[in-house]
Amino acid sequence: MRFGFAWVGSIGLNVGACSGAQLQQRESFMRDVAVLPILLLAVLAVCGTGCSHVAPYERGKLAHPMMTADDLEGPAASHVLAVHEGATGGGSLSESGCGCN
Amino acid sequence: MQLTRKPSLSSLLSKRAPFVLAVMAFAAVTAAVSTARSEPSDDDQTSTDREEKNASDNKKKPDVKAPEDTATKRAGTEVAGYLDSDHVAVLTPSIHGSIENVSGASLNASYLVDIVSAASADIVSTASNRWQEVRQAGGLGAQYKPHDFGVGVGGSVSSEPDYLSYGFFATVVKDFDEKNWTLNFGYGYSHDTAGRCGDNGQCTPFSVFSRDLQRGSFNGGISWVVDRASLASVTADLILENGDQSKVYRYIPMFSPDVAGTVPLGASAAWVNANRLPERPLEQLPLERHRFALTGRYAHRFDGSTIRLEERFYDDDWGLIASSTDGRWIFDLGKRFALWPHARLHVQNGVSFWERAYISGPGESNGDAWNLPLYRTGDRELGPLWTLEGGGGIKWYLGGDADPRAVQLGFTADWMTTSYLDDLYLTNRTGYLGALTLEVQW
Repeated sequence: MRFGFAWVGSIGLNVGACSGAQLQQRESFMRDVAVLPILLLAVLAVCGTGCSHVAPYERGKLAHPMMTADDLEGPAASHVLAVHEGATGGGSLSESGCGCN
Repeated sequence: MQLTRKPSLSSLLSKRAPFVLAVMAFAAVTAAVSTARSEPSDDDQTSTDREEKNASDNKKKPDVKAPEDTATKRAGTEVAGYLDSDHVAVLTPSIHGSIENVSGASLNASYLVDIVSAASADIVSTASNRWQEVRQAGGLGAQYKPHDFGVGVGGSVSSEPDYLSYGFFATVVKDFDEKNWTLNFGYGYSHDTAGRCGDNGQCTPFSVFSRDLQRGSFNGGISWVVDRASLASVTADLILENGDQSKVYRYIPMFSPDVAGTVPLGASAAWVNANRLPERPLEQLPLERHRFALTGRYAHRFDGSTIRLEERFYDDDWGLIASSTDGRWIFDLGKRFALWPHARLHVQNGVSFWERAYISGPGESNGDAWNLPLYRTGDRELGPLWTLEGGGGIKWYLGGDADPRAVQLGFTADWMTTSYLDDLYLTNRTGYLGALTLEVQW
């Protein structure tokens, strides 16, 4: 079994077992993943140059309850989306899987 | 005869190592919360010494008050219902609670039950009866963030008659520049076991038949203060799945090459049964899946309203690419109400091995064997589709004048329509989701 951080390396190493079409998809997938550090650097650069420093006493609007990262959806709505959409991500790490669809 | 033996404690511990670690970490943070709340510290005094000291202190300072409980407690419940045009109905009651200390330690817990009743086209096409099932899921989490660095751990369990999943996660978060920007990273692991139950509700024990799926999730992101009224964040998820996630109930119709091209979109179960080949194999998916998602969020506070936008881009090595766009505009209606419209658009293509009609034929070497496609699926969520969702919600703040939000009653209602672009049995599904919530803080 390969789990934990060893998986990161396994993404590239396992391509030998794939068919041609799968190989292309995996390479395409790897390109997308490789974009991540570039994107994060870009965000940091934009934040470093384009975002103003906001002092704690200037954050009255930011402290409004509706500005928190808390989701306005309950667990049922999140679950419905997880079952209806083939995509995942952007949510909590704490959810377990289910045999729902 | 079951060829199983009673597992030893050591083998159980080794198999459940992640779970045990999660429980130990949770216990450690629980102890930290408890310690933080028991100020002032009495160091290493014995209980007798402490009693004498307290008695002495009481004599000297008769007007000393007991330490004030500064923890914030929250409790809530939700009852949600889902109904769709594919004859699926779900009732989901849930409860959750949390306690947060001023020192930065917090604990949270949740529990829900899914009661599902289905007679969908997929079930009808296998000539099975209406099917009902109950799922239970629970989760525990703990965080400790005394200053600008924090850690969190947690675990969750989900159980159905034919499916068991458990997992744990750990997160770290670090604030920079007076909390003008924050980095966060996390890792989650879950283990799923899928079994099989019959029409009569009797299930085969996992020890006799089961399939395992293991999932590792890496998560990293940055959030920052854009200006005095705006926040933004970007989060990346890398999810690595290993195991057979093919559904053991899902049979895939096969067609001869000359019929496959004539299968109409949304062909009925009767049409499929009249034109398919005799064999109908079970679904078979690849045994590994690597998934990647990049999610951006933006929130802006106006004078009397808040807008929240989210865009998620998704890609995986099965060839599925998707975009999910979500937005809410929350309007304050005085101190007592908030009202918002909600819209969501999800668009995706199909996985690389998706076919409306899979082609099969007799094998070359043996006339009794069939030449089946290596991968085959009937899972609509792996096919090309789009979903449009619209709805809204309202919150009624019922607390006292000092803190109206201490008691919140909420209601959300959403309508969603999904168009399946290359499927058998169904071309469209319309669903309705409603939820009533009550949250209390003290």
